[in-house]
Amino acid sequence: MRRPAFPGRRAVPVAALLALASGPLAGCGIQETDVIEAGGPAVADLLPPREGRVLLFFFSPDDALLPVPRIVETPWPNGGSGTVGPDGSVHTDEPSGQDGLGGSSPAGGAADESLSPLAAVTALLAGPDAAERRAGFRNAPSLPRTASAVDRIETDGSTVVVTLRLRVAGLTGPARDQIVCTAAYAARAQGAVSVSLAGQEGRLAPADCPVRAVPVQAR
Amino acid sequence: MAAAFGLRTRLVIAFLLVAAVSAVTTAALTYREARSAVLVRAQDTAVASFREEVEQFVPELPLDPDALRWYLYDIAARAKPHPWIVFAEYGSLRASSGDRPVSGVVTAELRRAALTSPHGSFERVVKDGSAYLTIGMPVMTRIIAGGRAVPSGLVLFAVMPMTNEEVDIDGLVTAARDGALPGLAVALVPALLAARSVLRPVRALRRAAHSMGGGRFDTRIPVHGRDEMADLARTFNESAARLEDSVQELRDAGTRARRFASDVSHELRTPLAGMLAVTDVVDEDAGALSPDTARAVRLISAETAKLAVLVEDLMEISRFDARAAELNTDEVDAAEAVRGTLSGRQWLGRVHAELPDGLRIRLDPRRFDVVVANLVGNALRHGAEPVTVRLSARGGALITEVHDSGPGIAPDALPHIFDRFYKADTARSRSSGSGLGLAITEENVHLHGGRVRAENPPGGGALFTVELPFEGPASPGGETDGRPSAQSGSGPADSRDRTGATT
Repeated sequence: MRRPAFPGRRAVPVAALLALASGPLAGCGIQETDVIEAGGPAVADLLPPREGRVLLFFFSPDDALLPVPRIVETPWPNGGSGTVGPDGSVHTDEPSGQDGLGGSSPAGGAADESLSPLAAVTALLAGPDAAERRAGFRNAPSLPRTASAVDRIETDGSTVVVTLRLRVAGLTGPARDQIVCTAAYAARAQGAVSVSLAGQEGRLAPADCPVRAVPVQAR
Repeated sequence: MAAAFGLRTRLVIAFLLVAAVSAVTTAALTYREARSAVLVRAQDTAVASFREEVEQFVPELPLDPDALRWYLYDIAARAKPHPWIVFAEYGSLRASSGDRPVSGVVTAELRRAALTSPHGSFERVVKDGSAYLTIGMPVMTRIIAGGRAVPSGLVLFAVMPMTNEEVDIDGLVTAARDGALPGLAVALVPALLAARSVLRPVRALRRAAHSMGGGRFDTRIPVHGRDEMADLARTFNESAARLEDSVQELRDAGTRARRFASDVSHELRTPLAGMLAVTDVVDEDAGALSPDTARAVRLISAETAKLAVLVEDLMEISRFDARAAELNTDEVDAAEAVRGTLSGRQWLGRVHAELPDGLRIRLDPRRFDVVVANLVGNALRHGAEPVTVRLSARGGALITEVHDSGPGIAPDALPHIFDRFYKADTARSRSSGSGLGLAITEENVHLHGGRVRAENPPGGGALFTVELPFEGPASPGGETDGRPSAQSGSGPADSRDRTGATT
């Protein structure tokens, strides 16, 4: 019985079979993976609650614009003078309570749960406090350090107008974002409002806060 | 180079190979699925419970490092399904529930994903041979209760060694291996059965082919089923039937031809006997005739004698062809037998004989006489004197050599020298022999189970060598083994009165 070239002919299918079989076997044990998304983030209510804090937007060491709650020592049941921040950098003798729509109302009637945008922006300009600095938070360099730089904040239609006692063109993008976000979240609970910066030379186009509140699934 | 594996071995190996591949593939796929299930379950549990724990303990922001650490201890204490170490990042703050504030296992990719995307994510990391599940969990905070959320900047990482999963998965490998090996052993049984079912018809075919080769053309294979093997068997049977017919036809034709020759020579014999008697008488009276008539009468007489010899030879050949030639053996002294042959034909003076005594052999004396007479007569007629006859014993055989001193046999005639009616010397077409002498010699030697050959030895002349085994022919059939012997008895009546050497 002749079997010409037997090993050569047999070798190819054998190799193919082995390759086929070794495919599923590749890698016993636990393999590394890439980063895999797994569900949503952890979501919690921001403490302290809205009545007792303002949200100031500072830059983290990673240059991320983050909301930092600043505890308001005096509760804000209705319009009245409040001290923002433990360092007492801002004392607003604001006559008006802020209504939910964020305009500074001379009447000062309906009390909003939020502090006035003016107080928030003033606190922002005062810079991070000791605890915040310890966590690495900072203001954008072009933001004026003087808390008195903010003149007034009022609502113009659907836009919150922040009037500063300086030239707003000199503010960099990050600095504007800080003011816009702080004012927006102070004016509206969800921050969903456009903010226009006005200065000595004029008014900038309305801008939205880049940090958007997103819906998260309820737990 | 061909591997020395039989068909059975190759079939079994092929079966086992297929079984092994399927077993290994199945085991491997099962293993992969099971491993994936184990890992997915562990991961999902870990990610979900980590998220849950984180959500229960979200502290006030901004964080105080000491408070953060206690917060991490709380989460670490509720680890599920395995103990984990929790790391936290907030701004430039770093804290952990372990010894070091920053994990060496969490990769930069996971950290970036946790910092930039609003999703939990995990990554399996193998470090120093151990597998870890690392989970990155950004914390988002609802700015009003039940409302929308913004990133808080706080990111938590959990690092969980997957020791238990590794043990589970190793168990899977062991289980797969322990399942595949017995499976292979079980596969051996159907492999052997299948090989047998394939090999049985092959073996039957081989036996049938062998039997046909042995001349039994009526061999047939039983045909079972309708598969390829059955087709092969059917084809074999058809071929065998056709072959049987052809062979039978050839045999019949050969038989008819031999019978014809035998019948012709037999019919010629009676008139020739009468003619010989007449020519003997006429020969004696030839002297009284005129010279021309006398020459003619003598020619007729001589040719008639030759014709008689030819007919005798033809009848002898016919008997060989018809397998009717019988061997009547007797134990004789070889030297005496040869001497008798030479003296009976008055050749003692012309032939140099070397006949050692004591070589006793069992043979048919009449046929041995024909052999010696034909060879010596041939040497005297076609070769040249001196002619030597030499007897010797070698290798269990009696060697009879007849050597003449003539020109030898032409090389191209050598292979045909024992053929019937073959004339080495074409110029002398009318030789005195019948042309059958050497053929009859060969048949006689074969009948004894011996061999005869012709050659031109280096010293010149032609040398005929006959080897006859001392113990007689091995089998009655002699060298005709394997040839059909159906014609026994169909030959002419046995004639034992053949005399004289013919060439």
